[in-house]
Amino acid sequence: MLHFLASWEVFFQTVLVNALLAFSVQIALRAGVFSLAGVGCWAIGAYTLSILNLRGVNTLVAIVAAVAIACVVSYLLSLVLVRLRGLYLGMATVAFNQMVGVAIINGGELTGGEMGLYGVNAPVTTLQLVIVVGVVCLMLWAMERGVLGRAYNIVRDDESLAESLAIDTGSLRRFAFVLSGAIGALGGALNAMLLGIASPTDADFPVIVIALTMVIVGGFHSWRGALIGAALILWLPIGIQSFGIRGMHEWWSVVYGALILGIAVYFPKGLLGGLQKLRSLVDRRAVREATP
Amino acid sequence: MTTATAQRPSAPEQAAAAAAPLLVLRDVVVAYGAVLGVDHVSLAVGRGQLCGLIGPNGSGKSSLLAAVSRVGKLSGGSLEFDGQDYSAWSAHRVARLGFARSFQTVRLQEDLTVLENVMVGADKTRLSGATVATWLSSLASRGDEAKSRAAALEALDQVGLADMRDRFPTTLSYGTQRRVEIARCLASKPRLLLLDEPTAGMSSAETDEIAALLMRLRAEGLTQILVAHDLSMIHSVTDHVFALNFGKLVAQGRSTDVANDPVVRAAYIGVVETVEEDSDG
Repeated sequence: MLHFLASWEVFFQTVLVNALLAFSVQIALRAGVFSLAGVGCWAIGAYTLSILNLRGVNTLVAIVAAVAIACVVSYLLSLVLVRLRGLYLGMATVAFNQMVGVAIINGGELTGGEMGLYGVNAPVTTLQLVIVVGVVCLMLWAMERGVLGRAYNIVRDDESLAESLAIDTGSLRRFAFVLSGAIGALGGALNAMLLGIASPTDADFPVIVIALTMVIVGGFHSWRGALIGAALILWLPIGIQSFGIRGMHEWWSVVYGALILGIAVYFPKGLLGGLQKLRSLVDRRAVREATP
Repeated sequence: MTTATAQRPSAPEQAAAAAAPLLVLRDVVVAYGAVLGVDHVSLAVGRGQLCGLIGPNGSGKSSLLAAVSRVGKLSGGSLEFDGQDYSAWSAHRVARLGFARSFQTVRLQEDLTVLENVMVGADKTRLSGATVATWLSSLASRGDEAKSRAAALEALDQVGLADMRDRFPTTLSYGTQRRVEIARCLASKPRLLLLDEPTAGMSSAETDEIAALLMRLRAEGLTQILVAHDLSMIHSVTDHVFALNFGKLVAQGRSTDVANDPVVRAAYIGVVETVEEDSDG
């Protein structure tokens, strides 16, 4: 068992850190905010931690600073983007990510330019990652249940109805936007600690695609879906190679694309939504059979 | 220095406040470009009154209701609730004043149960604080959730749907879904209930049940504005009727008087028959 855990430790660590990236996108989508700004905040988190760490600042202080800066940036961004919805908002947040990327590349010695920052020395253990991700999951669980969970459901699906029910949609959307940025930055900081580097690719388009894919595959209605999506998408390349089919690893992108297409078509609420639907079908069948 | 005694209104002041209308609209305009959906409408709704709002399709009933609840646009004029001008308020703030409304089409959350849908109405007071505080309290507080649940169950009981609480809206008939919406309104303990065609698509038996419910609520003192095409229902439940045509208020008064008004009859021509006053009424 210990041998198994040791051999998969890097994978578990990668899943945990990337789950935070997926959460940052999932929180926004669940609130009906089509924001991908979590990716820009991921890069802000990675660079803030790296810059401070390389200057000898305490790791915990660096993490707090990374999250705080992302919160402020997200809040200001939410004020600017308050009137945008749907694809327009999505494109505006992609533009924000590009701006972060350009700022990083042109940041000179501070950001290391195109080379990024190397030599970050802030080791993190799997247990520490489990605790951090566990706390974030608890926070998201609280957000999905009870009064706030119901309110966010309505804000996502029917904004004018939400307003008529005394729900301050602007405040809830802003809160989701800022929380998304905070969790993205936390993930970015932990990723820099894990890898020991911060790179301009942290704000690159492929990161957006990966983050969105994890959430779509797992399901954006719950943090559990984002966690499932992160684990599956990161395992997939390893899984395909482990099948041992000659030359299969060259085709993994095709399998990956087909899988996403299949899930998007047949499970629009992601794998979690599919599992929930299956469970409700089983429950209904059980009720039918029990009814004389 | 002002004392508490000095602030307390005198008996005549209290009587005047009770007699004052709950809702006052002055010169309300809703413009869609050059077209006026609501054209300088002024009206007053008394406390505890059940008012009907009638008019042919496109007459501006729903636009007026949307403007009154501030869910829709308000291009001009002023709105006053219980002496307070709320014309510039956002819809969620107006809802916290005590407004509850249903819409022309069913708007329930498919992924929430009937009980949870109704609990959303009861959640109103819990959402008035900062989102962060609500979020943190969600980690621990169970008492508030129990209160929302109790209020929702009471509202479901009022509309006769207590046994449907665990069903999902998509498994219910259209008429039952509309009753769930009314329950959601009632769970918020409203001071003013705005119902936009609540009986549309209902069977006559279901319509009668809703009419009886509205009458009960009126007897309890709840002020209501009812938009409906069913003039016989308007006639049987309302105290006062406002008739709109092309966005203008063309008549108001008792339902029989309004229904027999030549202007109203012209607006409805071919649709409505003369409404005769009940012999016992």
